[in-house]
Amino acid sequence: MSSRKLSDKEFDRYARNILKKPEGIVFDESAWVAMEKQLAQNGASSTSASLRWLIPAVLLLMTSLGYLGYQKVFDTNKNSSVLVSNENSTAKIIPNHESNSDNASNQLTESTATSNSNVVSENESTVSNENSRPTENIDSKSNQVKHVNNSVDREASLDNVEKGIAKESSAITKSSGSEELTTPVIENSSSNEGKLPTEGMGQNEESNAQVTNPTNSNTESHIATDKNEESENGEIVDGDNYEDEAIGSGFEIIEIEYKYPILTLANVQHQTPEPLPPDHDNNAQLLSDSHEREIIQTPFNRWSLGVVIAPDFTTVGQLNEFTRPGIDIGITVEYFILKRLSITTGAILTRKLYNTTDIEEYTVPAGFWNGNDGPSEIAANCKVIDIPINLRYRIREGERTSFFLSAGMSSYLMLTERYDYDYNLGYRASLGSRPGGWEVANENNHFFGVYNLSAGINRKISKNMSIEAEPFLKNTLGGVGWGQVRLSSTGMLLHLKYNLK
Amino acid sequence: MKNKVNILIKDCQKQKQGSEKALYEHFFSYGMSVSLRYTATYEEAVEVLNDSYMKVFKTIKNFKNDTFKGWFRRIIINTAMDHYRKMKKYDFLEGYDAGNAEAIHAEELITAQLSYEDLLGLVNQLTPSYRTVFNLYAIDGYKHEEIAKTLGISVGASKSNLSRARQMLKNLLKKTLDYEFSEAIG
Repeated sequence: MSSRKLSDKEFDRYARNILKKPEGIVFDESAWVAMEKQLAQNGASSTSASLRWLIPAVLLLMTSLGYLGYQKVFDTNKNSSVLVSNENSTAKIIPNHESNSDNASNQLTESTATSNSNVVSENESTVSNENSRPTENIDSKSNQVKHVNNSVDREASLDNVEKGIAKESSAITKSSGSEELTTPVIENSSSNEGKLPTEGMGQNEESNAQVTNPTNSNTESHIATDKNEESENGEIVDGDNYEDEAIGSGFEIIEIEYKYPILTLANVQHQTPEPLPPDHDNNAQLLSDSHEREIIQTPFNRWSLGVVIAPDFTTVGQLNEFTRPGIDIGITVEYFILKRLSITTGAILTRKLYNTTDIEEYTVPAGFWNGNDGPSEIAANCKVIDIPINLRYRIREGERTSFFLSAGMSSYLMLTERYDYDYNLGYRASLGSRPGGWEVANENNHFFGVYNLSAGINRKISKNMSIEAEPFLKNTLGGVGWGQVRLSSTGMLLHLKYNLK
Repeated sequence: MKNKVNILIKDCQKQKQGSEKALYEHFFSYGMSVSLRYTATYEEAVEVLNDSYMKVFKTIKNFKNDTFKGWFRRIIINTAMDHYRKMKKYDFLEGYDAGNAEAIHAEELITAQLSYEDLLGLVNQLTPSYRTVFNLYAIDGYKHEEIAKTLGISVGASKSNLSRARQMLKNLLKKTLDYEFSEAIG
């Protein structure tokens, strides 16, 4: 062995040459399994990252749906309460029964004028009916009260009421000759219809104060005298008294409606002949109703400004194929044409991200793929300004919450478009002459090329501020962007709005 | 080829589903060729590689206009250094005496035609500190100053470690060559 010794440099080079040309290292699936575990532990998985976006969106959707459900329940309650009060109003015959039990043998004609302030606000026609439903005339000539079964039979009461109504109409026609009599009735009904306090209203107030007083403690004060009936009976009764009592009894009955146990009420009335404070409450309610009307009739805010943000899920074709959410951020303006009808517009900067495997949908210049098949998948990333013009109608308007439907058109101004092509060639294959992607900017604008549909809920958070949640659907009418594809976007607009004075 | 790598990287940056595995698989062989040199066993090499990939996936968003392999190799070497520092306290052979220097002759090497696997097996037998310094200097082209800084030792220590590492490797190589020679003749 007389050959030359290897220097350090030579030795290093020798080692390097061999070690830098690895052989036989093949992909090891078990190594990847370990890698996956490590990734999962570190939460760096791409799927979890994209899902993180969804969570707040889903939560918001559920909250708004839950609220909607709550509103529905609440509204049903309200309706049923109205029904209850109506039912009670049919039981306004009760004063008759009471009078019966009292065995009053006055010269009073027994009659009831009924009114229901609740109904006043809800339904004017009912009100006027009830207001002018004055009498159940029970054998006034003999001054003996017909005895009706004390136990309240609702059906019987209803019958009585109907009788009363029948009589009433005839009574009114009969009494039409007597101005003194008819006029106050009209005034009453009009005031009860929720209009601003009039003279008639003043009279009501006065009369209310006297509600139970004017009659003897023994007699049933709440049984109003209907002058019509009286005149029919040939009895002369003071007009003022008539009014007072009639109206008074009406308000008393309102009290009944609030405290639905009918029999209890009868007891209460026996025990307390003093003026009933609820009369004032009812008056107050009437007044407040009329105030509300007044407010509603004042000019409403016509303009509102808002900022909006939304996740944006865009796909080509099926809506459930979305991959990653983009985002919408923008400003909006709303103009109310009518109280419930408005036009909304604005400018919304949108990031639309979508992947598509429907390469046929994607139009390219001839020869773009250089004679190869197109990519297996296209990943698009577009920045778009969306200018919507929508018509919005409030289908239900509550004191604080309202629900609306909206439809209209959008224009898309495509600021930047970027498309990455994935050919699925296998990792070692060369792209060759295939394009890896495409980018364009400010080339494609689509005026009114998109239609919008949405529904939402608006909730006032202060006098002039409100928030809105509005799930939306946007479909392009034709192809948009460089690839001329039809896009569908969905998401939920979250709005913060400010009403301009 | 470069385009394909770029697409792989872009997919990872966009957190596209399956992109991580695609990248992992694509660079597995290359990554292992680096990590195997710095470690004693295959399992250890996979550990270093996976830790390196973790760093890659976490920081790939910031990866721009660089050759991926170069970037990836630096990450693997840094990760291997982390492992080396962890292993150091168990490194009882730190003061291993390289023994008498055995001379290696060029002809021997040419005749023997050692394979990649053979040489890698020898490198794996080096003590961690020798292996690390030898790899950094002889294979990956680091300078003594850089090695000293990376390992937290003096430049002198780096130089003496390197020369002892070479000596140890030569001795191991000589044994192999002698064995192969004896096999060949006998």
